[in-house]
Amino acid sequence: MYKDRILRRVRERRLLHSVSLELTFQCNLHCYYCYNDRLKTGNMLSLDQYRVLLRDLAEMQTLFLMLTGGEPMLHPDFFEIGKLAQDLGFVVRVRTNGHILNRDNCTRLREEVAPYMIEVSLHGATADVHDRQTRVPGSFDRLLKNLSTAMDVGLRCSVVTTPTAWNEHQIEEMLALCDALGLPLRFQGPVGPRDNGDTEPLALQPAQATWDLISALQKQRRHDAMPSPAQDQAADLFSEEQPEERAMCGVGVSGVDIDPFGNVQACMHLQEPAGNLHRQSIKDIWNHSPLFQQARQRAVSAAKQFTDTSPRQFGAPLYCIAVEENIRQIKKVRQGVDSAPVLIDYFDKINRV
Amino acid sequence: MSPVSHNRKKDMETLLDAEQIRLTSQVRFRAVGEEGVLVHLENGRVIVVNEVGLFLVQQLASPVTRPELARAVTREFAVSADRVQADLQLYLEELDREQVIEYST
Repeated sequence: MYKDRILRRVRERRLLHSVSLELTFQCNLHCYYCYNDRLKTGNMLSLDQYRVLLRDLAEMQTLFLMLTGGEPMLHPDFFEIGKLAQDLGFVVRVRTNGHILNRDNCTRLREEVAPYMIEVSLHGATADVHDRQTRVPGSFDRLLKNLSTAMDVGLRCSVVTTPTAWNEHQIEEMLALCDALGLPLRFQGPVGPRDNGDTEPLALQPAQATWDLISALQKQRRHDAMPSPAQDQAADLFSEEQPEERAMCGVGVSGVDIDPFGNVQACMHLQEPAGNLHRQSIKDIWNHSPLFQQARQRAVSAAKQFTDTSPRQFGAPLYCIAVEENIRQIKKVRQGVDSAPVLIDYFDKINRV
Repeated sequence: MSPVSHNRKKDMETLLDAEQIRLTSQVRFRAVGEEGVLVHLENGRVIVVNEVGLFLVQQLASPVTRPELARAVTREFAVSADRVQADLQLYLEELDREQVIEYST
């Protein structure tokens, strides 16, 4: 009923149902293919501004709030923001690399933030593969220890991994590892360019055969184990829904992303801001910016190329307009066709380095 | 306030007028138009409630007795007290089964 009726109503009435807060771009890992633009600058939102934002969102009946980054727990006010989110009745999800999920932090998370779910990133089934991607020795062993602690404390956890050329030989091992931990594993992808258009991460794209293997394994697992209705609901709550009108994703319809500097975007990876919370309220931006409808239209247009075929992008069984647009934008800049100031600024910085 | 454990189901027939009812701290809810969505953090269940259900859930965000609830529903929806009593009983039983509410004296 939730997906059939409620989500349909959310989209029809353009209700801001879910919000992703990128609290900081700082991170304690250094993942090779990370999409964040660490050179992006601006005035960080203050705790007071987060208070205003969350109260506005509660009034707007926003239900889901994701705290992400960078590593969100590195934000100096992470627990205050999380506590406020709990007090204001949001269903909170925390997307973390798990590196500082020690017992103290897990206990504070449970008691002060009470998240619905902690989603941690896994990069391989063994330390050499995982640590190669995070570029932090010991991060794999620490993640496993912290995951065990988080579950012991009573936090609901799930695991997400991005298949890459460096870990694609461990797909089944990663599934087995998560099975042993009793945690669901979600595969996300493809590896995209960084949010500033830097295409360096694309060198780590896995083979299409890897995605085919993942699809086959997932199909087999669905067949082997029918979940209980309650488990099914928990797992599906955050899954991407196909809107009624055929579109590549739900961008522009019911959710926004807010970066550490107050830029409100239709999607985490579409860097064009619809407005900025230093100057406008979230209500003004959501109700008046045309950017959301424009992003929506681009997602609808993109879907038209897949009327007879299944979406594919770098081998992955989906098509993300942000991946496409970010790559196209950087190509234009390199060819001198466009003069996107942000990207040129980025290249200037790179050249100086 | 000392909430009753939800390890045992509340017998609604024994619910005293003075007993207060409220949503448990494990429940989050929002209005979506005229309906409501409840998410139970502990068991992961998602519950959709209709307009009357949403009104009740909003009332239950703070501790409230059954007579107070009944009066609020009567005022809001202009239905008879007898009808409200019967419906409220069923509805509270359903919310109890879903482990959405807790009680205190």
